[in-house]
Amino acid sequence: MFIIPGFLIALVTFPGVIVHELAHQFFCRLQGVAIFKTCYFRIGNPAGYVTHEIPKSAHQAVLIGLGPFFINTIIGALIALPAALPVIRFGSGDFLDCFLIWLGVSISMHAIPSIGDAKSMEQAVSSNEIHILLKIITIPIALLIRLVAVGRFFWLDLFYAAGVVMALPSVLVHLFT
Amino acid sequence: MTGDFKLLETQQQGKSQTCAVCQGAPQPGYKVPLCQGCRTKLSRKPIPVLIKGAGLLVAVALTVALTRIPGSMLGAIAFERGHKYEMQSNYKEASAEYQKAVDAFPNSTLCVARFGIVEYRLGDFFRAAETLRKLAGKKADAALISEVNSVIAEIEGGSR
Repeated sequence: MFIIPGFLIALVTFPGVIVHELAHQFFCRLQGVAIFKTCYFRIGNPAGYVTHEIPKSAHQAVLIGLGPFFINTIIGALIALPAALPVIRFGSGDFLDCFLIWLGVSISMHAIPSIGDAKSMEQAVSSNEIHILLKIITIPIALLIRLVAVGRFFWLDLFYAAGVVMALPSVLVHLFT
Repeated sequence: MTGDFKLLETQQQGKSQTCAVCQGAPQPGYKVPLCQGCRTKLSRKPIPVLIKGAGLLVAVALTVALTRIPGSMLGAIAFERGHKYEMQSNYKEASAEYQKAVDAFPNSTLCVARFGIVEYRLGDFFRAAETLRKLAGKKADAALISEVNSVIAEIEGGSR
């Protein structure tokens, strides 16, 4: 398998790291969860992090953990959409289109939750204070997120970004044709 | 930063009777003993100016992208419709749709080539030749090049 050091990937896709951490921070703020420390970008592993208290409820933990997935996917898709069609489908496009594709891919790539996100969500949803029914719903979600996070090692984040940037515009065009 | 670590330690130690920051009454249900005011203040941790700037750039890029989505989508949809009409040998409709696609993507070899080919099929040899001339020196896949070259050869053969 082709292995590129994580810090190089993070360096090339740094806007995605920043948006990911800002999304965590946004959902902490929305849920009133105390934040202790934030790092929006650094050369290291992890490339960014938001250290916050353990949320009071499972839904808060899921929202904070999964928030960046939705925010990064939506922003990445919208930024890349108008550029992907001329560049990928029609082989034309200018510098701005290429810039938008890079930005869209960078942001979409960091939509996938990190191992740290998966761990903190597992910690929150497996707490004894959470009702058993809620656990039945949230633990599989947390495990799925852990599986997806592990998939980053196998370029799942890049495949996901490619899907968001390339497949989504084609699907939309075919829907409206 | 020391304060942050003290709070983290408090989270691991368990329950406390006072807020870890101001010694006020802590909110129930949380592992870190913080009063409502301190928790709200900590949840609203300020964002550094540099990160705000980066966020603003992303917001500008998003705005630019949003303004370009309608043109790009309409152009791509017009191309697909044009292709569908062309397959049905409805060249008049195909030409109208391809014209919209060319307006949206004037540098696209594929759009210009299909438009020129359809103009030829409509019998408008002069406009077809004019359109296809724009492709001189451009790269495309072998099948498209061959199709364009055969159309050009037929136009030239017809005009002799």
